[in-house]
Amino acid sequence: MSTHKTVQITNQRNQIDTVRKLFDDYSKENKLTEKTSHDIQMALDELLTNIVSYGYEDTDEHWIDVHFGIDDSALTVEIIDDSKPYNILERDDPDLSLSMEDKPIGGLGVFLIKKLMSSVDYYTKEGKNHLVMTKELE
Amino acid sequence: MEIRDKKDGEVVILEPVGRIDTNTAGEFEDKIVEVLDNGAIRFVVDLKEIDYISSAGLRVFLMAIKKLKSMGGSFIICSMSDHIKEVFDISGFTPIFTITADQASGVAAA
Repeated sequence: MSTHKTVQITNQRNQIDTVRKLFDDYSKENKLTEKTSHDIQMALDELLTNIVSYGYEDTDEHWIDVHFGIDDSALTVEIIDDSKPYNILERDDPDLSLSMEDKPIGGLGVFLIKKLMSSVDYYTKEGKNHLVMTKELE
Repeated sequence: MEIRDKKDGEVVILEPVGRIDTNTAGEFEDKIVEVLDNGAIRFVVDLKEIDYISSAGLRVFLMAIKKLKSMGGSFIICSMSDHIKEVFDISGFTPIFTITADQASGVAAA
C-alpha cells in the first residue's frame, strides 16, 4: 500500500473513468471517508471533463497526469496538463440568489470544488498547468 | 447507467444507480424526457443508490423541475445522502426542490 499514486491518461472522455477507478481503489486502501471520496470524485469529474472537453484546440493526443498523495492529515490531488492555461480561481462565483428560471449552471462545477476542497491552487510551469487541491482528512 | 423505473398510481418513481456525471447525465435526461413523453408529470427521483452528482447532473435536475413546474407537475427528490445534500445546499438548489427522507414520503408529496 502506498500513500502516493500517479496515473497518466490521454485527453479522451473515456479515460476519466480510469482515474475514477484508480481513485476508488486508492480511497479504499487508505480508508478515506465516504465524504472525502465523494468530494474528490466529483472534483476529478468536473476538472478532467473541463480539460478534455475545452482545453485543446488541436486534435492531437495529450497527456494528463493525476497524482494522489497523503501527507500529515491532508490528501493532495494534483492535475498536470498542457491544455491552454485556465485558472479556475479567477473565475467569478455564480450568483446563487437568482430565481429558478435564471439560475446559472455554468461555473457551478468550479464553485463546488472551491467550496468542498480545503484549498485549491493553480500555477503554470514550463508550459504546463498545475492544479493542486487539498482536502483535510477527518 | 442503470435507471430503474416504476409507478405508484400516477407517480413515476425513478431509481438511478451509480453516478450522475458528465458521462451519464445525458442518459438520465433522456429517461426523464421519455417518461414525460409518456404523459407523466408527477416524479419521484430516489437517490439512495447514487454515489455522486456532478454539475452536469445538476443541470438535468434544474431542467426537469423547470419543465415540470411549468406543466403543473411535481419533481420530488428522496433518500439523498448527506454529501449530495451538501452539494445541493452549496449550489442553491435545496430551496427549489421538495426533498423527502424516503420514497414513501416522496410519493405522498408528489
